[in-house]
Amino acid sequence: MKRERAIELILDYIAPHDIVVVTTGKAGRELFELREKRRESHAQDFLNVGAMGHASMIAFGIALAKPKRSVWCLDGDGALLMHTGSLALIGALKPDNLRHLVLNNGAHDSVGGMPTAGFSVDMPALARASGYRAAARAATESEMAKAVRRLARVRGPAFLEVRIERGARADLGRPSRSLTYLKNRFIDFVRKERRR
Amino acid sequence: MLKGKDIVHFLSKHDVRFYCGVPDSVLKEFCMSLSFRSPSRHIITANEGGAIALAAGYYLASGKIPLVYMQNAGLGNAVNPLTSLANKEVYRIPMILLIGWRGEPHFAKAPRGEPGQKDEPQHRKEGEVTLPLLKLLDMPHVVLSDVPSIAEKQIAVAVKTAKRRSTPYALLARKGTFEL
Repeated sequence: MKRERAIELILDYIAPHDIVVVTTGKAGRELFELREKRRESHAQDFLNVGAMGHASMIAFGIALAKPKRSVWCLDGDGALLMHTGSLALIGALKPDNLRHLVLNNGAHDSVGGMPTAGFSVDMPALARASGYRAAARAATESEMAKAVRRLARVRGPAFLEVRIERGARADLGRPSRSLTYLKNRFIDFVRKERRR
Repeated sequence: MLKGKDIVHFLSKHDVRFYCGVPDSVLKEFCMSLSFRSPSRHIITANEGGAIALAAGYYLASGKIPLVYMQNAGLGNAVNPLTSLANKEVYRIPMILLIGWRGEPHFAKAPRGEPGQKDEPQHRKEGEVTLPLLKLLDMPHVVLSDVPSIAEKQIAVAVKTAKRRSTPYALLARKGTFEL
């Protein structure tokens, strides 16, 4: 399973009022295109286009300000390892609405596929040792569907490592909307109180 | 001199109530005045870049201006999220930075009127590049006064400017600015 397929599967379990923060690089571009393909709004998603490794802290900041909303961080292995101190902070302060998902292909895939230490780290053990309330790993589509369904339900901070293959579509585009447009839509969506 | 809680009080007048960052000796009295706040209002992050990102997330979700504090040595850690997340070319995130200025060159007015002296070697270069770095980052900034009435006005300008430009604004604190 490649990253784009993994993100597509995850989207099926993210509720319409949930908030998504996605890591730097192709993951965000894939999320953007998947929303287009599924004819869904981009308002739920914050694309962390720069600031590699900091998606989890952006998600944590949102989770603090919106404690009643579920916040999903779609992270990468290189990004996670770049700022692993954030894992310790989340584990220590335990935001119970934060769901941290790492798409691990063991590579800096967005910039050429050079290796990271992602495959030599036991990420769920790292998350558990940091204080996350739940942590798991999935490698196949069926394992993943089960694990993401569970991730959506448990009390956070919850962690899921998804082992994926390297590679992306050759025709993967860039977001066709300006960052200002995306930011304003996101802000409207997040600040608006949840309606049932 | 300024008390740590003075700053917190001045900032609260402008609805700045969320603090995060990495502690610094120049800011010790300020940091101590935050120590009883709950994690929903104050978080010590693993590094300064994480603090910028946390503050950005908090702003996006709340619409309220956060404050990020650090020693100038941590400015390097903060540069990437400042340029590629908060910057006006990217997501334009308003926030106030409070930066402790170690290694300030030409530190003429030492506390209690003693002659100025050089800071420790590891602080000298960072102290020297701090102002040029803020200029390169196109970040409006001011050296925080230790006179409370002036500091109060500076903070009003800082918050107003951060809001108007929708970008970070830095307050630089020299050694000896704060007292308990």
